Amino acid sequence: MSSAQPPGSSSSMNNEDTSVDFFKSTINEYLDNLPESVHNQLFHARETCLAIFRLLPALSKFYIMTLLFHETSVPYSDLNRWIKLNKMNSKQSIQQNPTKIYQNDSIKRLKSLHILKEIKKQMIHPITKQPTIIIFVQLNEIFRQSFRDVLTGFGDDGLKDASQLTINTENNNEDVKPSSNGGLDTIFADDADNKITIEYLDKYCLSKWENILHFMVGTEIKEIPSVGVLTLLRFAGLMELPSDKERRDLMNSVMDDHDIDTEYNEGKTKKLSITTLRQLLITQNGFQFLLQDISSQIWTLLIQYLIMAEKLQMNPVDVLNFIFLLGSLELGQGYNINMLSKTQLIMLDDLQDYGLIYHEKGNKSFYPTRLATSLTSESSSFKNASTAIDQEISQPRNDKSTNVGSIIIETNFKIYCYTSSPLQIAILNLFVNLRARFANLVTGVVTRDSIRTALRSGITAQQIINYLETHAHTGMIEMAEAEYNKNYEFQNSIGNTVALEQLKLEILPPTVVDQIKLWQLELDRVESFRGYLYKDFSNDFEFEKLLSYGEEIGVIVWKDKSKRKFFVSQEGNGQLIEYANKIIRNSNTPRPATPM
Amino acid sequence: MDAISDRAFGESSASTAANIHRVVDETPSLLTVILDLHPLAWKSCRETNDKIDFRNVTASMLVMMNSHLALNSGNRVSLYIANSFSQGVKRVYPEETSLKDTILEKDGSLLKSVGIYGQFKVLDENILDTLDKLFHNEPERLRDIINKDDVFVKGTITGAISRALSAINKLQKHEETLNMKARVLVISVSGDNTIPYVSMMNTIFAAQKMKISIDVCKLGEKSIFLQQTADATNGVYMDIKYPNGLIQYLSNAFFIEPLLRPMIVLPSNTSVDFRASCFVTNKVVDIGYVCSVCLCILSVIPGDERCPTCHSPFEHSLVTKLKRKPKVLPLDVKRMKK
Repeated sequence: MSSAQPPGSSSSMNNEDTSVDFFKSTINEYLDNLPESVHNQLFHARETCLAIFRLLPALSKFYIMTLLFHETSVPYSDLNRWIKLNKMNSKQSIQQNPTKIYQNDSIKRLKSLHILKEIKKQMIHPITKQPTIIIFVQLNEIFRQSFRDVLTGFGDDGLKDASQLTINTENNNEDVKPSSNGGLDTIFADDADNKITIEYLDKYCLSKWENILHFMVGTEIKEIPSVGVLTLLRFAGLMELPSDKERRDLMNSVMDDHDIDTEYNEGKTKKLSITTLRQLLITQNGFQFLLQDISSQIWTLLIQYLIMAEKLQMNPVDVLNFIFLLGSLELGQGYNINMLSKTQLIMLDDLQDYGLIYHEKGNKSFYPTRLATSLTSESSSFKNASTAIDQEISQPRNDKSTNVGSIIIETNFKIYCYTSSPLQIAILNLFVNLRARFANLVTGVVTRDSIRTALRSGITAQQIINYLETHAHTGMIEMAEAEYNKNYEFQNSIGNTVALEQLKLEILPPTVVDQIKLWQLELDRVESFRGYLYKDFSNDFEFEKLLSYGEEIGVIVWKDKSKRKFFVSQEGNGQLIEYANKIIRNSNTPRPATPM
Repeated sequence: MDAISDRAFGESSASTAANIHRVVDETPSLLTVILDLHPLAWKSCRETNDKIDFRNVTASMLVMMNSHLALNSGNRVSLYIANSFSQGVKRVYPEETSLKDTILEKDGSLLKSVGIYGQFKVLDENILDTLDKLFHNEPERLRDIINKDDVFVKGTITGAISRALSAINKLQKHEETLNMKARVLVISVSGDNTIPYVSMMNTIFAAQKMKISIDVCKLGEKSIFLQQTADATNGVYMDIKYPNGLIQYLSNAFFIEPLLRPMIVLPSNTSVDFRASCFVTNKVVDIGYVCSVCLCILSVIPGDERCPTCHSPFEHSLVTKLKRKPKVLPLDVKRMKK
């Protein structure tokens, strides 16, 4: 059995190499797997439409824009016709053409979100006069209506077709505002409370978020996060109680992962008292979580929140709408809570605990913080926001002009980090052998042992490298850039185009990067599978027959013909036994295979 | 062992399709719209095709700009107006007057995320306000100009494009927006006579060098120069046949992001008219004279026998030769050519 995953964690966590992908793929996966009825309900909210639109691949966006103002459906083949198929790649099979893959991806996403609908129409071929079925596509009617409203600013009652869209400009001036129907203006709070400044909100959300992270690393903190936060952390498998660990270890040895997952998760949604939760300890996934950038962290928690909300019988549509709504709100602006549904009021309290929202008890208005308003932003602008917050977290009250990057790593594996934040030091401590600490600097060495401890606790080499790269000191980046430019000019001058293409910006010393990867490979030398060993066959014929059948259905993991043994994966065992029984019945020489 | 090591080292270089996702899906872009306000051209447009309506065009344009902002939260838009008699080239959005403030503000806190709706609203209201103010001034100026019978155009399309290009250049040099892709969309109504040929060509070359596509959405009569512009910069040129459905043109043919261009079949012209125009009379020439020094194109020989662009004197004997020739076979040559 390969490294046991703490249950309840999303299994995709290990597969992703960059944090941005991680966040995007998880929210996308979540959305994709919702049923059509939920999608349709979601599309009624405009903010949600816009947020979902932004999460799509660029080509999907193009398709949507093209179909948005098209009144009739469009033949499916047209979607292909708009795409250039690179002639250079025509030699390769279509599957290998990146453009084609990209296009398929884009269409697949649209279909799984039920934004694109296929309609089959019977048409008479103009030349052969034969009736043929042509597939037409059109946008989901609800999505189309809401999204048009977003772009045009019209209310639900306006605009039935595109020609009406172009109404004179004077009226447009008023129409631009979102209509009262679900629009944002209506939930603007009346009391323009100027006391809550943006600076205050920033400070507020940072302290809340920082507090959660500190709790995870185990720093001494004055105020322990609320029960809601702790329950979620436990539910997400980022932290666990000592008793959970024992239970998990026990179960792991007896049962399959799947069985624990469900049973275990049900137990986890139960509310426990704060004194019990206080004992929570960080898990392997929790370590990985710490290495993500702040935006992915928030999304990870929110997705877990969604899953937990479903278990607690909250309406996922309400929850999602509220999350996406937050993304479209304006920072520093108070919003009235009267417009929110019951579910959303519950969420208000929960999200306040994560620092996404500022809301005073009894006050009629709430304020989204920067963590909330940058939720649906894309990586590029997002990076700024998150790094800035990262920076503030890592250097709470230091000079703000200093750059985000603070880590210097040398080719001799020595590492210097200009920081005084206990959080960053704790994170570094996960994979660095720290040596000395000064007022604003910690030094350490990356060793085989230190990396191996990190790897064993489930952190991947890629995550470590990413972390070092994103937090690299500006000096390192400048040096890497200078090196890159020098190489580029050199290769350019000798006209070596192959080398030019392979040229990469190497922020970290390549020796260090390779070594960290090699250390990971050391651990990967043994791969484990769960399954059954078949041995002691009475004759060659029986052995051969079972083996060839097993190979046909692709369940054989290992075989040794001379010793007449083979190993079958767990999933394939049932099939093979059935087949074996069939043979036995037919041949009347009973000799069952011995699974062990 | 080989297989395993491949996997671990392969992680850093993602497959090409995944690369497309990362690069294309996440690079923000700037859309610069240049709106032609030539009052006389608008008037003649309406006379020939009563479906062209300035209000409709503006509304469609605003929807398109909103859509561009909707694509990606890092996306930006800007709008320039050209060919208006009273104002010249003017940047309408982001507003010029508050330019310094916004840049300073942005430097300080680029993270300030404006609500999506808020962004649309600010954009739409700003633009409509400015256009509204503009039209209050325009009639008086226009009357003066028409009375003077002087068709001097202040602030041409070319001027607007070059200003847009320099703004893009500045943006692309700026640290925060280093990877910003950009494209320009010209919504034009006026004919070629309002476009100075030389500066047009210069802007085309500049755009080519910056790898910025210039799309042209042409209402009213065809324009040879704008056709050439789009062709040379890998842009889209379209004569709008059904102005009613302008939004569909804008959201489809003119909505191709710079990074998607290699993938999508552009709705481009097959036949582009490559004729140049005379530097003196501004008319398109089939056959003309070329200055041997600066390659300036002339349909007539100027009276002072000097090149109007580089002022180098033409050789008198040659000029007389050239002048004499058409006198010998003035009509026949032309007819035979045709």
